[in-house]
Amino acid sequence: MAEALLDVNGLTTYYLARDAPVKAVEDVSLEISSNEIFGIVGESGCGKSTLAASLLRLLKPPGEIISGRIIFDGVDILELPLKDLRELRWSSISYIPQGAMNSLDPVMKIGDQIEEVIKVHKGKVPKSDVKKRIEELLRSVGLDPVVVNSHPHELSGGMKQRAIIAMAIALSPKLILADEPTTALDVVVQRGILQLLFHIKEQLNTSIIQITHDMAAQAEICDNLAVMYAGKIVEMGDIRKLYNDPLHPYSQALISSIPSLTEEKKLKGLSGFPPSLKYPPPGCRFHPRCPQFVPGICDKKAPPTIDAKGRKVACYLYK
Amino acid sequence: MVHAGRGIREIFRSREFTAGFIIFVFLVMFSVIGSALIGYPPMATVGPPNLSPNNKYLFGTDSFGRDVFSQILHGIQLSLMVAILVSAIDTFFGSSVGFVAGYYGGLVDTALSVIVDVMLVIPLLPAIVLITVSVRKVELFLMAMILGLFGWAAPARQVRSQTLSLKEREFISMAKLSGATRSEILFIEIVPHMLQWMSAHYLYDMLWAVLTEASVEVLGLGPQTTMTLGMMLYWVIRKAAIFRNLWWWWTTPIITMICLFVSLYLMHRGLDRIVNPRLRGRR
Amino acid sequence: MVRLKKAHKYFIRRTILFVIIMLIALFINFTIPRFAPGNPIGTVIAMIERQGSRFENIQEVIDTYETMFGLKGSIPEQFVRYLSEISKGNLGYSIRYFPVRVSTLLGRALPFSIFLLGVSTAISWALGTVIGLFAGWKSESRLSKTFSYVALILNVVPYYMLALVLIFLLAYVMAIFPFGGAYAGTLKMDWTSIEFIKSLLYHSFLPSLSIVITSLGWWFLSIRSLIVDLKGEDFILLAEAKGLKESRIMWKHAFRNALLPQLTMLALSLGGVVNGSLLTEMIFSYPGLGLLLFESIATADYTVIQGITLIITLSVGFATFIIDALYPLVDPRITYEER
Repeated sequence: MAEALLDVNGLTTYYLARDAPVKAVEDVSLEISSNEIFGIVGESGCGKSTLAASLLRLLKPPGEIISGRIIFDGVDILELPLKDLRELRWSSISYIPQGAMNSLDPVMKIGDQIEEVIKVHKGKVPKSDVKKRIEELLRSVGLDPVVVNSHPHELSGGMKQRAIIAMAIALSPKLILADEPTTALDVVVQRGILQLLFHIKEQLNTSIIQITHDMAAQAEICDNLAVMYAGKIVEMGDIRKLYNDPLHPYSQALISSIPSLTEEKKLKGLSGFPPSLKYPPPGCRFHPRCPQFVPGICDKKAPPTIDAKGRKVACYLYK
Repeated sequence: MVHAGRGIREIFRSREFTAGFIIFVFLVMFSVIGSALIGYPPMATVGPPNLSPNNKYLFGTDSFGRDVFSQILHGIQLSLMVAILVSAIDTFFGSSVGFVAGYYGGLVDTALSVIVDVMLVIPLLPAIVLITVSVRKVELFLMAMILGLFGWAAPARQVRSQTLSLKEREFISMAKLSGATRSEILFIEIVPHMLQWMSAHYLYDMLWAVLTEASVEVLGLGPQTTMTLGMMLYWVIRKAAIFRNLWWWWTTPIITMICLFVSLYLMHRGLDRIVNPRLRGRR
Repeated sequence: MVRLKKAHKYFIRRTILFVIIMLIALFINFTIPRFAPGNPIGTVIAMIERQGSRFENIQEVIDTYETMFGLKGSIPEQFVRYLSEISKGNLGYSIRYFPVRVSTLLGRALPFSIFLLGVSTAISWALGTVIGLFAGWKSESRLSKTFSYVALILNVVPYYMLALVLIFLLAYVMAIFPFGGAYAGTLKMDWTSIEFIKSLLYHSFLPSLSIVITSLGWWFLSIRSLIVDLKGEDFILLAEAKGLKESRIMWKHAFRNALLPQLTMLALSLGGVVNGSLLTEMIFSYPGLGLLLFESIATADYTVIQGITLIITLSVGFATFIIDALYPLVDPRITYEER
């Protein structure tokens, strides 16, 4: 077994508030190897973006990492002094945030923004080399190098996304965090971006964490998947096995909600609403909506994460 | 009416507004009670000139032998009267013009907008100076009229754009309703909005009026028969009070005016915070 | 191609609007003195006769006057003649200092006003912007909040009030700075002499200081709120994810984005700055337009007053027009929509 590239252990992140903290990420553990695309799927507000931001310590107050360890390539990110953290950012782990379209500085040219990461991390590099590298990057994501001189508002949504991806691979990082990389793009463009991400993993040996609520996007390129609900990971493992045989009732509901083109299937949704993360339900956070709820067990203590059928599950249904 | 009660409580929850309000009320009380108890006619020569503060003349006398304390008391009242009058004219007239322009649109709108734009472009001080000089004898009422003349353009413009955007919104949902109720509903929607906005703007206008009036008077263009705070400063400059160390004469109007300005400003800002987010929220 | 057409239409609309507005303003400037009681020409003639009529071309002068103030011909005719005289630069003669031309008086006073105004506004804007940048970036700090309150209060204090206080403190009590004037009475106005320049700067310090202090608050507050808003933007978050140092993010990303609106505000505030500085000049006896205005009011010199208001109207109107017209060109994100 290859040594894990990223080992997250018991990560807990809250948003502190006057009355009660919002328990956005609760005791999350996961492992990612190199050359892997790892998906994190869940409803809006389940804590996935907070999880991503925590990995690079990009939380804004009142967000705070309460406990846990994030070991990347043998180094605990949470213990890193600020200077080393800044060095690690983008050169080892890059980040494509949610709403990537707005993540480009409106008054700077695209080329200058990419050049910035190179200048800051690599120091003095001859201008012609930088120029060549930028053009190379843009071409590799499918953009005409002429956009070097364009401003963000001159590009379409898909083009802006590709520009950010070009920036994200500029320093050949070992890991890319992509938060909703294809949301708000039309389906055709989506496919292109997903294929681009896959291509990056293959060619550059970069691992990618793809965070999205879109099950289909996950299915397209991921190797492993983690299902998140109300701040906790309820099931995690090989994506094909997960899709064919979901163990956790929430995963089952998610899978069955995907419309199929081949078979006639009744679309089943989930009743109820996602719980408040300030005062989450006691015990298993999913129990109020679980069709297999067992009173007395599921509402007392949170279920431990165990190995079952080659995957990890947090549900009392399994031993 | 329940809305009004709730609204007032919310207004006082704003720290800015309350702070300004306290200062304002203090000034008014000071002025009213002061002139009822002590009080010489502000324009009358009551004693020897250039007296520093003493028991008889709390703030001393100016170079004409007039009681500075009475001048301050009286000046506060005059400034407030002018401010209230001017804002009333500006806010109501301006809002009406703005509403008409926005509501009816078309040629009416274009014509009114041109007038409004002209009024906005003309630089204030030179124009007021020109008018007051040409008219020669300026009394307080006349000054209020002139100030009112220049202040209505700003609210007109804002009310116009608000009306326009409200019109856009309501129109779509109104298409479903019968034509007869359209104007009714527009009024019910717009008027509460306008009242909120108008009260916030009213305070801003009062501040503007007091500031502009002071500037004009310091230049010497104010009324000659009554002593306003601004005119006090004018005479202070004319008589070189600072260099003759008549500190009671020049510090008192300045401090009073600053209190007045700050209180109006705070109240305006407090109200503005309340009025604006709500508008934004509804859009 | 479509964008260009819109741009042309916008520009033409703006220009036409400007011309119309200017004409109306000029008309108002032209008609108001007619309500003034008395006959300015009569005053002038009386003065000349008192002085013993030393001038041969009296009739020509009287004619010019009558033409300018339109005692001949109908009002539209008079206005047109007025406009033509103005375009030739003939603003008439000062009543008080006859036969000195109004344009001469204005020409003497204008450079001083521009100097004072220009320098003070530039300093105030630069200082306020930089301090406000830091205050906005560290908006949680107590210092930032305290500064905001102070700035709020300063905002409302008129320039001239602070001017009076400063005169008292620094000129009277501490006698560091002079009471007024633009330069020492003993020096001659010579822009090449160092002595003169030094004296000029020395004398303009206090008036400049009062303008700088009172207008600082406005710039401070505006950029502070711009930065506070920008801090929450996505691209700032990405800049942090890129591993950039905080100072770099603040200057290269936040500041650059706030700069354009902040500059625009500078341009648009011209009108207000002019008003305030007029009074400050008056208090410091600084020989700019402000002092000239004050004196002409005191001596009822209508023509000079008219000339001053004309210049101010034209320059402020023109400046606003230029900014309105050019701003969309500068900011690539704005389209030529109806404002």
